[in-house]
Amino acid sequence: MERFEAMVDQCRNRIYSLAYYSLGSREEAEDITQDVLVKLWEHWPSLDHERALPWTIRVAHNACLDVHRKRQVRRVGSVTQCAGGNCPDESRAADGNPETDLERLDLRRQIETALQQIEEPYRTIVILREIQDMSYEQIGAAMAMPLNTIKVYLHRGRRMLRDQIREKTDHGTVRA
Amino acid sequence: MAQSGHESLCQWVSENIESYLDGDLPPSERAMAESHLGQCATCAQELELAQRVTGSLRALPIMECPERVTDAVYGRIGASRKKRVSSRFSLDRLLSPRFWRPALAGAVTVLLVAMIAVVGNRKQVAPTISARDLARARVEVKWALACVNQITQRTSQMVKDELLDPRVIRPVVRAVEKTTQDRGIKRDSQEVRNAG
Repeated sequence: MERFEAMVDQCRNRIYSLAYYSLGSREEAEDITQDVLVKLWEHWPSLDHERALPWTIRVAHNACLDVHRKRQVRRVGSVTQCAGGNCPDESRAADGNPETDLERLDLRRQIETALQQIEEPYRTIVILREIQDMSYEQIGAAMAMPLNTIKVYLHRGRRMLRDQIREKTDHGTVRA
Repeated sequence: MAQSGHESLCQWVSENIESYLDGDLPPSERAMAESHLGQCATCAQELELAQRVTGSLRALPIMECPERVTDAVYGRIGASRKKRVSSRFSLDRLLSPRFWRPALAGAVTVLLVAMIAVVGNRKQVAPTISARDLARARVEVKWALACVNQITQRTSQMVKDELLDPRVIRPVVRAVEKTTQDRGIKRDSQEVRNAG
């Protein structure tokens, strides 16, 4: 039980983050985290504990895919929530200059929204690598993909994000 | 022709800009990209946008999972564990073949060993069973009796806990208490009437 609790502490924020940035909804992220951790408990006796983290990431990724399928990609959640002042750690983007801060916050919101608009598996790979700073090996284990594929998909995902942001910039929503 | 070469270089840089940012390009290609980026304003802008997007992505925090989520997880796990433990001692399990088959096998073994022992005793006049076999049979009898004893104890405890206590003893006690209470109330009201 102690090892299980340690594993829960180790992976709960990663699961929650993946679900949140993937779906843009705290409630759905909480539900998914809860379900994944209960599944982890159910499979705990037969699971290789060294590979428990990638296992939970894979289960969380599949759960997010299910939600995306069910809601047919309704792409609003994150911006609405953050617009309500509910975004965590917004101070991380601040450097004391109000104009620059606003620009960065604006870009951050655009990126959070754009993340939900790009396709899988690019989205999950971008979240795991760029936000969660996971290694290519860990991502490869979680997504059951070779390292080269992960790299190619990561670059493709970032390019998709760039295209989304450029599109917004061309429409004058983001100040360069 | 020169324009066409420039455009194809722009396209190549655009396609490899992420590899350039991650330092994944071989030195010769990196030098070519840098040379082009120094001359082409459009590609330089694209690089700047790519840097801003990647920088903003990396600045996004890992979200903290609320405590209530793990509380709920441990709640669900606790409930399932409790259910699992109680089902281990349920009457259904007691009556299931998985439980009574070993008990039956134990009883049959005891019977067989006892029969062998009786036959062995009869043949003491003309013994055909060696002392070693007899000793082994005695050990087996003891083992089987111990098994049966353990099963009997466990079964009686389960019957008491799962059947007698909740379904017989407690309802009877409750009924007796209720009856006593009702009689007391009736007697009191009778006395009140008599006094009136």
